[in-house]
Amino acid sequence: MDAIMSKSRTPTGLEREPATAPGGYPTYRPRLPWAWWQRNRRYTLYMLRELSSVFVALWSVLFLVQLSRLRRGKDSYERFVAAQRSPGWIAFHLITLLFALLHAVTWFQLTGVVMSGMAQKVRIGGRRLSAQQISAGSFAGWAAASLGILLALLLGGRKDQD
Amino acid sequence: MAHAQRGEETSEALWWSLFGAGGVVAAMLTPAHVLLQNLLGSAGRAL
Repeated sequence: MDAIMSKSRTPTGLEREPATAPGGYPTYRPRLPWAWWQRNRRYTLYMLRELSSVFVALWSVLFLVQLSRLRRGKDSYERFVAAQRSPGWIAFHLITLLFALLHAVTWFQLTGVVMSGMAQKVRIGGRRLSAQQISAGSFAGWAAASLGILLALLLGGRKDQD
Repeated sequence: MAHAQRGEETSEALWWSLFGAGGVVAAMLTPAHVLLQNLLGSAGRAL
């Protein structure tokens, strides 16, 4: 009787709950162990990808603070930049960069798969684009945007010095 | 009924488009900004 009434776990990871169903029969519910995402490389990548949004969100808030400091004046902004040179902040930015790269690469790979599977096919000159072509275009756009940011910062900085 | 369903589809498309736009902006701009402004810029090496 105790064996029927007590909670137990099956070898496949199902948890047996005694007498919760209307008929008084035990029910079985799947219980995932906390480390389920470590079992498979794809699951791990998925979880890391989800985690990347946390770091990108934190960085976005920091970027807004940076803009606010810039608006307050040169001294305020320079104090902010000086604080960013601490090892803790550099470590945070390094981790954020790795997560941002993971997000960007997986996002552009996904873009090709999703857009090539849409009902309205992506076409250029009447020719339907494949998933690889759409992804390649996204990566090219990413490279162009990164180059644009580099040039804007370099040329903008030089103009300020003149 | 069909009218309500179309409304749900429109709102779903709106949320997915916002999600997509956010993903594209984050993917396009964040890596370069973090590298250039926060790492190289703060170190005073490049910018």
